[in-house]
Amino acid sequence: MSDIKKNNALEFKNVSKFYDVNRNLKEIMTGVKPQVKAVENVSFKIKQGESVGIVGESGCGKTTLAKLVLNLLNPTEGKILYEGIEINKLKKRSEIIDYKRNLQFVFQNPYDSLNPRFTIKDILLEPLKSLNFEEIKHEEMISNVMKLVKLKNQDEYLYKYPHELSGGQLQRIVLARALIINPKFVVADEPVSMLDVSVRAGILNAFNEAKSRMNFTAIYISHDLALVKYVCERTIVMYLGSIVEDGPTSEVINNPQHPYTKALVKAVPVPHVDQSHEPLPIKGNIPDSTILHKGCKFSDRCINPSNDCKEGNIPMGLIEIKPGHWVDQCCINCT
Amino acid sequence: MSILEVKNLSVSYVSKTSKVKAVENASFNLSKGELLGIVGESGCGKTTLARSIMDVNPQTAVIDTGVIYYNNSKLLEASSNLKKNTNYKWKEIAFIPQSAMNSLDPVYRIIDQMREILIKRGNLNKKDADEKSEELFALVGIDKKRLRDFPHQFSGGMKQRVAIAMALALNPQIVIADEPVTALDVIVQRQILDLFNELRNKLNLSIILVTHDISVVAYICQKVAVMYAGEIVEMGSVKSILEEPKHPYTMGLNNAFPDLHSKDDFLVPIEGSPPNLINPPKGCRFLDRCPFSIDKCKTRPERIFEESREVICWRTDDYKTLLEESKKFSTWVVNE
Repeated sequence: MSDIKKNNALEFKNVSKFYDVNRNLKEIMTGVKPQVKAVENVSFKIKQGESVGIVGESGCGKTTLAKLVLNLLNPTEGKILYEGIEINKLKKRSEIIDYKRNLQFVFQNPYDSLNPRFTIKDILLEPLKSLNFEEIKHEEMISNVMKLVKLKNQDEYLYKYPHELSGGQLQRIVLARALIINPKFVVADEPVSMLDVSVRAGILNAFNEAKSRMNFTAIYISHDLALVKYVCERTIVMYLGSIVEDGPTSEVINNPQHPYTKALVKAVPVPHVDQSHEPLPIKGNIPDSTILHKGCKFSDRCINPSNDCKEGNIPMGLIEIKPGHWVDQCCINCT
Repeated sequence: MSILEVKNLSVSYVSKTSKVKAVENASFNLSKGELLGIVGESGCGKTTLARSIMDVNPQTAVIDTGVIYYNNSKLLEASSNLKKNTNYKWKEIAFIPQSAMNSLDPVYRIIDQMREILIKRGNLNKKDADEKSEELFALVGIDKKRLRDFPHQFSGGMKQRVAIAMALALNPQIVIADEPVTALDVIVQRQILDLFNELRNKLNLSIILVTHDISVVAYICQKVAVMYAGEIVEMGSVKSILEEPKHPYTMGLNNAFPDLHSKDDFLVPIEGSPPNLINPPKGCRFLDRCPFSIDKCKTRPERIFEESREVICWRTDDYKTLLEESKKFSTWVVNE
């Protein structure tokens, strides 16, 4: 077990993804090409069997990151390695199928991600067929995975259509569809944000149990730190396309170092009375992501930025302040 | 003194073949300057309840029983010939619908949309309307230069602020906000909640906040009504409901909520799903999902009123033991 953990499952090496945006007349005339820097110079490694939460506000690039992992997008710069193989250089169909056999995705909205004209059984068979699994094993795989996601009396569900099930049941099916091929790596993009609170807990528990049983590596994307806490041992905080803090979840929550993480932790509402109503240590709104920052990206929202931050005279990039806890060095001394 | 009083309100949605009882026998009071939260899961009737007050339910909705009073005058009564009075809308009670930020017209500038309310409803002239718009923008914390922008130039949180500014345009006494912070990021969510609080203090507004999020209620509300399957199952001050819930559903809901600073590393779900409201169970509606049910629960529980709180459950006498039990994982999840 410890041997496996040492290996890197996934590695991002200075990955960037820029999107071109429509130009207005002035920009066309002057030859300016504005770009949205969805992910900018991101590097990290995920070990085998690790579960990593990626947290940030909307527009911080967390979904782009997920799409990059899934090879749905090609990075503008940099390399993405899965078990040492560069994934966007895969050309042969057989290689791509091999890669996809290892990797599955859990979508955000269960109501939209299941084909309404397929029965639940067809939905679960789809990945088995397209990734060439032996037909004799299909039934067994289905019944195993249905047990795993805690849908007892599976016959009751298998011949129904998605509209006949509740949101929580549907999300269990989405989870089952991802887990049926026994993946080594699961990416979940806000899997419970569309569900009711009383149902959420059940899905997260099923996810956790599957994770400990199948020992897959997981990326869990969420805007909610409180949920990440229950699923992930490590948390990466993103702001405007860059990683600002990366460390063990308990450290990030209880001892945040970056001013953005501090604000984020304070902003998460808690179900208690007598909570602090102090203003958050952050100002303004998320800036337009086409704006170029000379220095620190966070300087417009920092409550106490120095001129050096804005001008970029301070070295930036992550440094390790404690074993496994990395923070953007520009911002450590700001607050 | 209560500014709004809802008494025994029942609303159902009628189709050719069936009748869904979305809200049943809901009663509550709202005092001046009070912030009331209505929490519940999807389908529990919280939005229908909020919309009934504004009389903006879809056409299939029928009010079966109940009366709504505003400042002691009747706003709405079931099956009466009370002439439809629409004058109170926006002037006395304003409504911020769900995802209000997406309801701004994309082809008009914000200023035009503000003028529409102020001129048509508030009978102001254009110049006064523009002045008032600037005032409102200052109130919700947006630069007045941005009045001439189009909705797509605003971020989600800003659009929500615009929606709040529009609701406040005609100086209402009550604002009803349906899920005002649901689609927003936590930092923006916090800013909007702080804005609600600030407005309440500044304008002495009464606010009804409809939400599924207990922690939002914990952050700003004084009073909370918990709804389940069309009924208000428990109501009282936020402190009493969060710290000493008496209804098992509220206990379960408190457990199921993620808490950033708790030491537990698991969440406790409530198994099962709410009953079908076409033919709701005769007894307690939470019966199927309740781990503490006894035989008596098959008959309809009586609503118990205590000082400033109420609950509908047969087992309120042993609530202290139930509360202890409810904190255990094994109470809620039966292992195979």
